[in-house]
Amino acid sequence: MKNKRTGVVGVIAAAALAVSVLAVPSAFAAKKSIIIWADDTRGPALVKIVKDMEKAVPGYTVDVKAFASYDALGAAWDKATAATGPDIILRDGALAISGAKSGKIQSLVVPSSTRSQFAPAAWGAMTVKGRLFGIPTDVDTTGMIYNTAMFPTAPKTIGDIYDYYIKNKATLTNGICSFNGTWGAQPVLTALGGGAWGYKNGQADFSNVVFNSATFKSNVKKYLIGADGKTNGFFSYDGCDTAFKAGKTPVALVGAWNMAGVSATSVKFAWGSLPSTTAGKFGNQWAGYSAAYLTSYATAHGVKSGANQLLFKFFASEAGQLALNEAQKDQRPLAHISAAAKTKDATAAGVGAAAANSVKQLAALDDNTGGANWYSVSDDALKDIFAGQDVDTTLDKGAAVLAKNFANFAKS
Amino acid sequence: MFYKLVGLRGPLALFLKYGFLGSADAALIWLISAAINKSSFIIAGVVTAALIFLNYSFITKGAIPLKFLSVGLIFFSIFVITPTGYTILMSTYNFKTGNEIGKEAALREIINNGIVSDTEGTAYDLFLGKTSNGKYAGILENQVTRELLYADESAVRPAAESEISRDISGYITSANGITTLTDEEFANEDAAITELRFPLGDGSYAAPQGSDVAARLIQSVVYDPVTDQLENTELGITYIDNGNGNFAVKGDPTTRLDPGWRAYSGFDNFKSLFLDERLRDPFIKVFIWTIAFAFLSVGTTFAVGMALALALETPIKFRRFYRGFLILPYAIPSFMSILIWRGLFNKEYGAINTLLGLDIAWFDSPWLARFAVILVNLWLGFPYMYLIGSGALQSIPAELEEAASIDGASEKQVFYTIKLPLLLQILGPLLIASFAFNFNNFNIIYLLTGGGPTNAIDGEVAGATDILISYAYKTAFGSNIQDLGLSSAISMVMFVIVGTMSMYTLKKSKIMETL
Repeated sequence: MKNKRTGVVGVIAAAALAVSVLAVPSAFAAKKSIIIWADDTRGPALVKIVKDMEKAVPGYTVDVKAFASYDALGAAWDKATAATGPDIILRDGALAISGAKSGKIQSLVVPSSTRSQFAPAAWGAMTVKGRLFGIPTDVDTTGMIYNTAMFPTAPKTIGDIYDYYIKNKATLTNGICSFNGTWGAQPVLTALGGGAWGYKNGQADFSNVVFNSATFKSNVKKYLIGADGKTNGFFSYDGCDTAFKAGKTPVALVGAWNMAGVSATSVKFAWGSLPSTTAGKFGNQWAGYSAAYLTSYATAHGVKSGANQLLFKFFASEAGQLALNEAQKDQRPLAHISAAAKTKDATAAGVGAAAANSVKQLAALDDNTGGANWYSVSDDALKDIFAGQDVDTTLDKGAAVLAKNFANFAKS
Repeated sequence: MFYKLVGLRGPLALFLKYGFLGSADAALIWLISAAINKSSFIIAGVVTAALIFLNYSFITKGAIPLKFLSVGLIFFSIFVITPTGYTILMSTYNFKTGNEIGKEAALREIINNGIVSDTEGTAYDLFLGKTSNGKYAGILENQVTRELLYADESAVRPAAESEISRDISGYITSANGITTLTDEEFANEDAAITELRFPLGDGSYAAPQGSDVAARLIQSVVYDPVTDQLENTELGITYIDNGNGNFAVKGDPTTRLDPGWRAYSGFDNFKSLFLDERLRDPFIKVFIWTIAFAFLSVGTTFAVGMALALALETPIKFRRFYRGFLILPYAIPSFMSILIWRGLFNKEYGAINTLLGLDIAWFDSPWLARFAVILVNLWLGFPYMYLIGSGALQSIPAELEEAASIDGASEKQVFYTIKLPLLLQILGPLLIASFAFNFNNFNIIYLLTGGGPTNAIDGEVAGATDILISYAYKTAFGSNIQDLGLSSAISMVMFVIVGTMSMYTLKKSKIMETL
């Protein structure tokens, strides 16, 4: 009996200890703050400019949580709850789709004055079912660089590049090199009349699969296939970067992240956009916009108005985007038009200018139940075609997979 | 009894007992409150049960065996029973991207997303404050027309320039009858300001989008709690609860509103797995390869490990060195070995192609990739089999071999008729455990091939080397659409398969009878 009483006392004491530990933090409740989550590059940059952000929301403090990696941020976001989640998160454009679907991010109402400061493609990347989610901050896309020793001025058509390649084939490895696989090859595919899907009034049109269009089939045979039915070497998307760096390829499709290796060589180059078969028209590269998103947790935390104000007064402003960019080790091509023009870094400025010919990338088409995503399809198709498979049959097979995938996406 | 064993008794033993119990109670109570705080009621319930069980077993005098078992049982229930139960539960839910939150939260987001700006995107400069009776009021200045409005929560009216004053930049600095909010007041009243609506009289309203800007908005989606229906007033569309975690267009259940909510779906995930061809076909393919992979892995590692154990059973020169050398692959962390092997198989720069003068894309061909997976798993697994095989060989009485030899049995006969059956008897449980391990050997697949290659041009979804666990992972986390309910169903199928096979083999081999 005595032992039992001692045990009960022990339990009560332990419970009291536990309760007191829980009570202590509430006695020191923090000031109302807006919590921002970002990855390992944007996060530390935001930490440096917290004071700038707090000027945009004078009644609040701004707390930035910089994650150790992009994946770590994603993992934390997946597990976030109202108790743990941020008010604003900086993430890629795919979050607009998954976040809107899950209800973890909130739609924004953007005044026309703010809209006009960004390219329509930037807003398009943030729009899901007619609702806008997120303020575009920067853009991941590719541009064309051309060897100025071979092309003193930018080639006018893809035919010009092809002719140059055929004429100098003995000394060249390729005519065009995509540094980034089939993802980076999209300008070539679209310049030849193909691509993942068609467009109607500037919007993706999934009912129009152009992957097996007559124009594309014809141009693939004309530009990419040799007499033996296999690749003629004009275009490569696999391990061809060393040839460009060695001055053996006149044109490359690159992203800002590829430029350190190129700049280290003696190759002189200039920026542009890959021309199509017609002068004045260009292939379209994918643009993946990153954005600052207002989370649904901001409402639960009672800081929605403040977080909203921070988004518009800082992240959607020229000064805000430039400040964030300059605080980062490697500058990015910015989404804000006038901020992009004032970007100091030449590569970021070059890619930013090329973004004019970019199109929205729909990461949600990376669907795991309906079929394969578009770049896996184009990867397999080009691999088969370059190995000597029949062009028409291969493109038709790829188009069938894409059509099925688009149909599933439309239902999702 | 324990205290007696370590020589402790009396008040000190009692003090230590309740000290440890009190500390454990403190930790568990803290866990319970943290779980409740995060609305994890299942975890809170399990930990509460653990707390009661722990105290019962240690405070009650008669429950001596429980004192020894309770800690193990608690950990078992927390780390085995609960996750298994939770997986079973989740496999009966429509739980995926878009169906993660509760219905109430989903409804709130749908209504929030149903707020749209007018077609012109009208925005106002806002001077926000309070009237003398503490109600919110503001001056709205149209950013295009510069029209001034006085607004409060009940109505708006045109305002005159004389009612306000501006600074040199034209910003409104004061307004008659309105006391501006300080920055701190704005922050403290954020939640109320977020809900603030100044009705504009035509069904639309102006809502602050920060401290000094407002937008003209329309609530296009409205909810009727009586009928549990949503209506888009702009488009005239009615949405009903489709019974599967979404509001969907009446008459067209596939056209849904986002977000949805986590909804009970019975056996729908299992049905999809076996009846929906998009899921069933890759599942069957993956299932067959998983069985083959597990058998081949166990078979090859056992064969090589046993061969080496037999070879080193007889005393030879440098035997100790060989034995130490052979377990090196086991001593290196497997993820490092796998990544090194991935590098060795690289088509362009890998040592295998370079040394052999080959140009093989090992991971682009389904059969070569499968061969590579088995080979690397053999490298990782044979030391284990060698170790247990060596131990088992030493446990077989030498007399049996001697007797057989005297009776004229050859070495081959001795091995196949005496040693191998005994080895299988001894190693049976370990081989079954090895099979179960390889059945769920996520690391080697994920790190070596990522489940690939996948023939996208033929519309394949699962890769040639995907096993059930990597396929479940891809289903749950491999794309932007995470289907946790479906992957729980796949996990349940795996659980049943491995459990059934293990039980069957154990029963047939009668191993349990000797335990």
